[in-house]
Amino acid sequence: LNCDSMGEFLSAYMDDELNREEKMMVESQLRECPACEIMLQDFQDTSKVVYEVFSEFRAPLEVEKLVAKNIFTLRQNTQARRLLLLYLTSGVLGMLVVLSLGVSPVGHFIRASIRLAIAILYGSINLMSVVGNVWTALITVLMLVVFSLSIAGIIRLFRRIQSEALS
Amino acid sequence: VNQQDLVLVRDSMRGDTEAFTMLVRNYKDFVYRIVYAILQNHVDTEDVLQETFIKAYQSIIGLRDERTFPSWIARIATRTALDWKQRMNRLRAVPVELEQIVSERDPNKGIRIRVDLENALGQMSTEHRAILVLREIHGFDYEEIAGILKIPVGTVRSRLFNARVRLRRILQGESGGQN
Repeated sequence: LNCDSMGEFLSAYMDDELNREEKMMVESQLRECPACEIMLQDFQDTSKVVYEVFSEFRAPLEVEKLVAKNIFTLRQNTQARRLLLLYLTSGVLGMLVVLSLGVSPVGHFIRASIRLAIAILYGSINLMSVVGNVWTALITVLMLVVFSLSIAGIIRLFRRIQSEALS
Repeated sequence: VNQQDLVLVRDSMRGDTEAFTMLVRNYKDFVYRIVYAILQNHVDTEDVLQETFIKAYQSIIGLRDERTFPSWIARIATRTALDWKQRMNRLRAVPVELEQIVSERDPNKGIRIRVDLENALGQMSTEHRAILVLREIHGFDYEEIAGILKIPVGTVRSRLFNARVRLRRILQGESGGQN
């Protein structure tokens, strides 16, 4: 082997990156060839100089403060973006809900329910002026009794179904 | 990585900004040397240093193994510096280095060696400087360097050898250098 072809092996030998056979081959070459030994020494010296010179380099003292400040700004911007996205999404969803209520069967049902509630309220007010307070009170009590009996009936029905299901 | 840094990396992965700031304090010199070796300019290095740590903060949640933090941050620093260099090369025709101007006036031997080396590194390619700093200064093994630079291990071996030969020749003035 000549010295030119040994260079790459010597460089890797210095870094302890050779396999066992390559390492043995390099060590044997180093014993026999003074030029290769000088080349290895040169690599080691250069490596030492690079290490020593660069070890002196220090980052500025305030770097972590600047990074922390940038991170804070970054987080604020991210939060602002998220809030904006939330508002926009809510607005779009709200509009979609209103639109769907306007055209869907559920929307028709809600509108009909609102109209019915208004009619009941209107009827109740008119009833008072037509039949007088006593009759209004009697009708209200009668309605409450019928309503309570209906509820009680439904509850009884549910309980019976439940007990039948358990037995 | 020491135990204290491992804890800081873990806390940073959970979004602890204070832990990340302490990591920055512990690793700022480490990153600075990598970036400076590539850029050869202290002003740009400071900008890239900050950009590197901001990128690291944004992506640390995806770090798979906290023990790989040094090679992970080295990879971010190297990529960011190389991208910066590419951007700047398009903008600046001939960079003027303050260090080179100072070197001619300073008689101090220690500073002269440092400047000689910096000038020699300045004559080398970015790829050679990057690989030298990763190996000589931070002691990454070939496999780690291959991961950082995204090149095969065989290329690491040959590129490192070529970089060493080139640097030695420039320092010895064999290629018509300044010495």
